[in-house]
Amino acid sequence: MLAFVKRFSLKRTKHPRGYEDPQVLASETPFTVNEIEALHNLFKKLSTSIINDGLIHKEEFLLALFRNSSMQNLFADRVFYMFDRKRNGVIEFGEFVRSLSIFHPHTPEHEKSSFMFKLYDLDGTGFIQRHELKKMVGALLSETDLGLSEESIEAIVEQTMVEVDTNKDGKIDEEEWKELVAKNPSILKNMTLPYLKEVTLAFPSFVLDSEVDD
Amino acid sequence: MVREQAEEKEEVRKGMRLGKYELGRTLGEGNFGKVKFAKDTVSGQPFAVKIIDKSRIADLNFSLQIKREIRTLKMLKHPNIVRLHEVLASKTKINMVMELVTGGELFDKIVSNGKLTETEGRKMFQQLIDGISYCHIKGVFHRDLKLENVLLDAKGHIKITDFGLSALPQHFREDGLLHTTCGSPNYVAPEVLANRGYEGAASDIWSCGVVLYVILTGCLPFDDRNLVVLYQKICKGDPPIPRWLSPGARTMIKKMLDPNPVTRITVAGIKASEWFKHEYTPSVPDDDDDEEDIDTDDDAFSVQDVGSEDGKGSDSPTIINAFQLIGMSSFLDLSGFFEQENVSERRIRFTSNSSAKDLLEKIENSVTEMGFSVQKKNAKLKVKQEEHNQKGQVGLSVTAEVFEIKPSLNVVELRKSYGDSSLYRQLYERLLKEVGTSSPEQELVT
Repeated sequence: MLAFVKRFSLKRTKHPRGYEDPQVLASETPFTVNEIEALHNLFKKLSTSIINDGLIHKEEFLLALFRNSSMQNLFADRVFYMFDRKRNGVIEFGEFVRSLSIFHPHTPEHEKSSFMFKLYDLDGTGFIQRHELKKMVGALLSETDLGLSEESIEAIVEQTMVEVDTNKDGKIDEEEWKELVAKNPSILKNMTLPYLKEVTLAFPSFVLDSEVDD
Repeated sequence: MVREQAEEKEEVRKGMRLGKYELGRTLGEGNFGKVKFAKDTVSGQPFAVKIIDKSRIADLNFSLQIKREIRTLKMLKHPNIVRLHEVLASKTKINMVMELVTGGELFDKIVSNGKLTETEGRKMFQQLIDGISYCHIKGVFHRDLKLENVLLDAKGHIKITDFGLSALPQHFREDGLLHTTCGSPNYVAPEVLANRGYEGAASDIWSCGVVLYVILTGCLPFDDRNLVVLYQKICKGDPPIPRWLSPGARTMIKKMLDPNPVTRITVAGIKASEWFKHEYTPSVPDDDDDEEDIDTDDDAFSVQDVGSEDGKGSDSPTIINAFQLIGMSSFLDLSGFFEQENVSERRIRFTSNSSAKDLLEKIENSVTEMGFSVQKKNAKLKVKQEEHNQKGQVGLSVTAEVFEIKPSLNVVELRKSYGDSSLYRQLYERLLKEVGTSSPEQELVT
């Protein structure tokens, strides 16, 4: 009887809060059901690295990506924020898969472009404003210890604003952003992870406990 | 029997589909299931699918081994090695989607047509050594190399198969002991027979030596119906080498079939020999440019001659705007989810006040002095060092690229494709010292 209860409860707790049916996720993303099962192996590893609750906390996210759970960085914060679609401070499995799917090599450019625009729109106003751009340039420079004078930073920002802000309203809207990306596809470089085409090979544990019916 | 029939019927009923693959005829039968022809219905590309029945492996300690095999095969992307593309699974089956090789086994070719000419045999051997040395660089050893594991593609190029299978269950017999040779012990190195702890690289060289012997002579170097006698012959080494082979071929066989693994010739030794180098064109690994593919394919700027418009030479660096500068942040790079090494261990940046032209020249000189080979393309340098170490130590492949933020302020980015971390560090430190901005404060390490 005890064994039965144990087993039952194990079964119940197998899928924690935020778990979603791989079938459903597969239908909404470029991933197959097996690929989502493989990503679940990765997710399990990440979501239990510090707090064993099946959710990716900020510290776990940072630890996985940068091997440092307590670092502070504007861009890392923004990426976490973009993954945390429900804005509740943790990344659930469904959020993890849907966000990663943007980085799939087969995902259309415009989805990648729009994700990146939102990531750079720090204040969430629907525009990348001049002060946001400057803040990001500053963050990059401090990250790399590159000592540039205030004037130099100002010059880089100004030059880019002149280039991108074609309607000259002092901020970059999504149309202007799209034009910029069309001219410089390399801007989206970080938005494609070739690894996502090989997840079944990278996280092969799923082969043993796949729940796909024959 | 009844069960198998039922299974077969079941497969037919479902129209033999497997995800996006359409299954076709059975190509072969392994110990744990079938190998079937499969076609990717999206791309039309043909594959071979190894179908492993989970129920047949349930009682063996298989899980770790299958995972290890998949992870091992994942690393191997080389024209002379059968590639694993994807793994699919269901409740009852594991399906490994492999490259389809249509030219048959080299074994069958020798059996039906006899030995190869020395010219043809050497060509095969060069490809074999290319494949094997690639794997050794990645720390993977075959351990069960034999002619039957050497396949031929439609163009007659060789494809080595069954990598990473060394400890898989088909090698366990009833007694539960590991029999790496499994019925064809003729290829096994003496140190493996002696059950001493052995080094994978040297044992693979021995087996390659046996393969070379067979393809050039049409006979096995060591053979006897009695296993005990066979093992004695192997341990003694010194097989009869026909006098009609060229001196170069005879020496090569002799050095490869040296019973002492310590004095046996290494991959480097083989590649340095005159006999091997004759009409040799090295195969290029498929993963050589993994990262760079993305860069060059997607970046209009690195392919197009941006400089030509403003009349600059092709050495002119890519001029980057604020967004491209921001994009260099390591914190926007999510590859850390999938890589063992931290992003900052692979991508390193520093700044320089030198002009781009000077920069590229100085970098080229420095790395050449360090013994690297350099390929140049626009403001990009591909820097490489093949393995020199006898133990098959990992080489290093790095791309250095120069970006201009503004005149007389350039960013040099180093990206490591693969290789030894400490050597990479040395390279970086040397470059930083020679071309980096004078103040150490301005180091762009992230």
